[in-house]
Amino acid sequence: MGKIAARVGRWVMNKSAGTGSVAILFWQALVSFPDVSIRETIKQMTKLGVDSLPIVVVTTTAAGMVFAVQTAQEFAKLGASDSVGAIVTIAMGRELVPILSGVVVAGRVGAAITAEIGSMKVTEQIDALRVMAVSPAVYLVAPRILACVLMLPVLGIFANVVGSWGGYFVAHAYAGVTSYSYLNSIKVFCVPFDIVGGLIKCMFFGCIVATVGCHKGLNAVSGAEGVGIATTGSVVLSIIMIFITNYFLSVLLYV
Amino acid sequence: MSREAVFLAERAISVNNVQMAYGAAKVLKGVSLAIDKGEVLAIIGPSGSGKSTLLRMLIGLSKPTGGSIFINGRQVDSFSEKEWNRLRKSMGMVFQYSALFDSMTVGDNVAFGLRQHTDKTNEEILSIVEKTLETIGLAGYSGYMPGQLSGGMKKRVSLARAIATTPEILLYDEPTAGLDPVVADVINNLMLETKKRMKVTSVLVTHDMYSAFMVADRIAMIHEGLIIAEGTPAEILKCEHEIVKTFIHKAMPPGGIINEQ
Ligand SMILES: Nc1ncnc2c1ncn2[C@@H]1O[C@H](COP(=O)(O)OP(=O)(O)OP(=O)(O)O)[C@@H](O)[C@H]1O
Ligand SMILES: [Mg+2]
Repeated sequence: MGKIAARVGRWVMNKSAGTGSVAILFWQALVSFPDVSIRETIKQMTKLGVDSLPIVVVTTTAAGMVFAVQTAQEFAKLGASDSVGAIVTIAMGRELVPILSGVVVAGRVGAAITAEIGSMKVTEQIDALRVMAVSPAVYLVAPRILACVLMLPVLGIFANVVGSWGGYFVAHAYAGVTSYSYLNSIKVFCVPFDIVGGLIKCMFFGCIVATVGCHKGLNAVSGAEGVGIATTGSVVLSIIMIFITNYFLSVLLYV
Repeated sequence: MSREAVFLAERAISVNNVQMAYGAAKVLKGVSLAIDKGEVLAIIGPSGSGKSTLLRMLIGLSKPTGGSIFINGRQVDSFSEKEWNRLRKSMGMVFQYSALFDSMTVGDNVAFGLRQHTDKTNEEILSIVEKTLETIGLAGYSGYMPGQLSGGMKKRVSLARAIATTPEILLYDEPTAGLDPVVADVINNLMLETKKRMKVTSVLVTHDMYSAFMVADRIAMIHEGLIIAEGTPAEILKCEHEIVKTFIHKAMPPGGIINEQ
């Protein structure tokens, strides 16, 4: 038992090794925000939105639906079908939307960031930037962090809307929950912060995905294989960090 | 200032007993060189002897593990990235494998330095880009993506990108490798012209003996991490060192290259 725990511990440590240098990179990007190119940031935001909106919508709709499947019938048995709307909305808004959006964006956008910057690294394009007196932290990292931090909450809003709709359809179909009772329970039991808190989480997760993505790319070792390794490493580290950060954010925001 | 320091300050670049090791592998074992303002120094030597490694140090892409480097009289080996960036604005580098930004067109690649560091208008920049592309024989290619070019064309765009900002110091890593003889000659002439017109200090790493002897004021040969010969092209030709002789005569056999049997 102890052996397994030690193994797991070592694995987590290995996977999160370099968290310190991730933090350094984040700091370098942070101090360069005043110089960040607005055009580049908008370009990144567009790319990010277009790339991940469809997947975020599909995953969160499905999550809202499955959550309603599991709750609606049980609640109906207890005569509490009037609170299904609120339950779905709170679960989605506080936890499922930020986590799912974060994970999906890590897989879609984080991987793409690492692959792009990693291939720039191994073909000496990063060196070429430095030689031309342009800091990769300003030119590449800062716009990507900014884009992810701004864009993930936007995706989160969409996700909340479609997730809640998905939940309604299922609750209506399986437990005969009416639209009035669904909406009313949301009105009575939910507060804006159920959604807003989740969107704040989204900003943190966006920041994690972009920073880890850039860091892994900038440290890719040469060869196409190196870029591949960096890309998987980026997704794995992002997801681990998202889940750990999520726990602390939940405690901070909702306890 | 000590006499030695005055001496160093007068040189554009001086490299003193520089060492570089990757882990246990010693790539440079104590290299010393000095390059005057406006001079072209060619560094020749076999593959893997540390030529690119040395060149990268001269522009701060890697730090030496020993020794010191002076540029324009200032010790640069302990520079921060910020200090380097100030200096790099007056430097240019042509990479061995071009290193073009492959998400940008040829024109944007060449314009990159100008857009980042000057407040020239877009028209001025575009006309500089067009003129620079013309000098390397690629007029009309500014809308192409790097992926659409051949290796030799990329090399030339890389050269255009480096000279577009009219730097004072230029580092060339095998600028003529992989080019056909006619285009190689265009590049050689361009390097000569750049030197004459702009008084550029250049370091030219090359395997191409013809290029080294045509363009360089002085040639240094590096072998297993040490400089084994240094002098004007005429001196190098007369050099009695076995390795130097073999290296040069392999590239330019005295009897010509036709094998008559
Ligand atoms: N990042 C690195 N890590 C480990 N070893 C390296 C690294 N970069 C270069 N080397 C080693 O340093 C040595 C010199 O490499 P360098 O690229 O400077 O050679 P070169 O003289 O430019 O060769 P070529 O003419 O083939 O370009 C090689 O043996 C290479 O394996
Ligand atoms: Mg080399």
